Amino acid sequence: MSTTDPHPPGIPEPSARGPELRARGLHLAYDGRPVVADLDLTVPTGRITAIVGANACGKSTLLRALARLLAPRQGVVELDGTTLRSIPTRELARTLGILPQTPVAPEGLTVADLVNRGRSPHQTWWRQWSAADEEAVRAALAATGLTELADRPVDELSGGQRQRAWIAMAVAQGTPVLLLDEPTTYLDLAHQIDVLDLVTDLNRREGRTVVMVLHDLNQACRYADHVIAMKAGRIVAQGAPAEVVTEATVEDVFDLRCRITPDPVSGTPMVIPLGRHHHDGGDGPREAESEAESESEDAVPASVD
Amino acid sequence: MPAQPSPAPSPAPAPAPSASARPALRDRPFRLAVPPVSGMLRPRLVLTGVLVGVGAFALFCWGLALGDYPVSLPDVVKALFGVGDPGTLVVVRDLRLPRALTGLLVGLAFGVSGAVFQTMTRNPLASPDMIGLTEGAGTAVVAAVVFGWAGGLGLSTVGLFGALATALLVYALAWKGGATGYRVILVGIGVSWICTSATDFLVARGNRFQAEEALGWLVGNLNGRTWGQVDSLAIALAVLLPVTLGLGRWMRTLQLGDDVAAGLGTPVQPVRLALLLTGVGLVAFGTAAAGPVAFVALACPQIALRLAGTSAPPPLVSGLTGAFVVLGADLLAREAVPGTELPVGIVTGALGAPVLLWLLVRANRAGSGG
Repeated sequence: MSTTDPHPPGIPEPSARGPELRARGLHLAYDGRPVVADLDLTVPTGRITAIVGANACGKSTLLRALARLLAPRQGVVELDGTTLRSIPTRELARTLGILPQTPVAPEGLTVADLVNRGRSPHQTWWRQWSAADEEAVRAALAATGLTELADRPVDELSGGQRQRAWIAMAVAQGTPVLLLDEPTTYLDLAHQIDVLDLVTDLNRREGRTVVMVLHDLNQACRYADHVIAMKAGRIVAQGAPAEVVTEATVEDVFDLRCRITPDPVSGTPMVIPLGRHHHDGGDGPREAESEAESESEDAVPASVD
Repeated sequence: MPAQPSPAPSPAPAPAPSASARPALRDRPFRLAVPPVSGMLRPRLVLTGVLVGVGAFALFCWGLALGDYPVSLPDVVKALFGVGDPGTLVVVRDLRLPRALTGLLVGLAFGVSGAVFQTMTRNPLASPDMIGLTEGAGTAVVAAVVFGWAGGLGLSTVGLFGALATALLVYALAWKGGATGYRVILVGIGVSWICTSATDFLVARGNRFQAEEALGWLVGNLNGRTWGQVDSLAIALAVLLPVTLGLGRWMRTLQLGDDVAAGLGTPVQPVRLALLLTGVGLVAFGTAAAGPVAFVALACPQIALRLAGTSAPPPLVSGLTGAFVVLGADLLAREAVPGTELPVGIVTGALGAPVLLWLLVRANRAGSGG
């Protein structure tokens, strides 16, 4: 890991070295069907990691195992060298937070109440609203821009606001490690960027380790420090986005031929898919398109190479 | 991908002026320095609980006042505290009190049990009277009557085992890496029909006297209750009610789904099992004392939820609502047709059916419930 410090100088880093999450020899199965086989992984502490891969490659399954929502068949997940299984439930919930894919809030639950429930690992039967709870909820609402909406029922919010409310719950939980399963699913593009910016804030300002499963490779490249590409339950490549997201890896992982160019805004790799009807002949897309149209329906797509 | 400037957090619509309750009824935190107790004060929930509780107590007293030997309401309250002439004391405390107390406690048990099941499955339709638990208890009792097993045990105990066995059956059949939502309901409805058919068969097979005894129990009945029934139900409630309230903290996280709850440090499977056992225990003891009083466990938590303005049925207020409804329905049952005492289950059934229809229509429209 490089030693460059992304934190602005004025803002203190709460946990310069947060807990380290790693998996060793992990075998995972779902309904008896093996999904992940013999996987080793060390999550870079204090960074944003994105797990990418085709559908059903085991990325969500891996995330669930990292959060102890799924018990491994073999192998271990360790938090600072301690097996996840041996950590008391509450203690784990104070260190590691997980936001599953598209959670559903019960009807009528207000934003404030939802965010408040993120504090439950810190609460006891008699102490359900300590000063620390109040401050954490206030800060989480402010960080997600939901202060104004605190009294509104979650089910009446827009998709983007709703997702922010759930993230606010995870933020209030105050864990140094945060796992997010496809936090941008079902959101329009503006709200996707909104959520990813928020995740970046949480990482840069508070030094939280973030692991998220993402579908969009370009977003993964732009927002993650570390990208893990998975295929059929195995890690194909991992490292900085520029090292991982190459034409060869994308073809291998997604079975998709593409071109990679630098993102004009962030400079990170940007994937331009080719597909059957578009390929770069060097003469621009119009040309390619008309060429594609002239091909008969069942013709084998012309190879560019 | 086009360069998408990250937008400022989308403009927050101003909070609707009448979005939440009036300021006096808004939730507010309280925090004591010594002892270090803190929590959220929910005035609307407290107010609802007090009003429903007072209402239930009023119906309770009214029920004690009515009968062949009328007693005035003030005399009833005095008699409850042991003050009054011996005749009134005998009528109120020895003759009428077991019935009224059974109604109160059965309503409480069914209401709390319904709240537990509805919260646990995140579905208002998954109440114990919908998923076959009360029917299972009924089958067991009728079988005991017809085959003459009940001798040593008593019908109540048999009903208790019937409900527990049915709960195990539904849970086992609905289990597929966790039992939630519609699977429990569909399996439960199936099991419930099997039990109903078995009961019908047994009633048809038994002789006339046995059939009458069984039917009197099957509709849900408060007539002729004794102190024995009150005692076992009261003991069950004294144990199960505090357990349920103690689990309330976990019910709040479980309501967000199993994965979120686990992420928030909830021991999901143990809590689920504990909730299941308390919920089944409450409904089993309730059914044992008064038979399957229809729709109370289904409707009362939903009524309480709307009165209190919460996002999940509040267990205690659901219980008080249950007591209110059962006592009210019993009064109606006694007074509606002069000269006859209808079983209370007939009245709750007639009142509850529209509530069920309304819930079904609503669940369909919202497309929710899984």
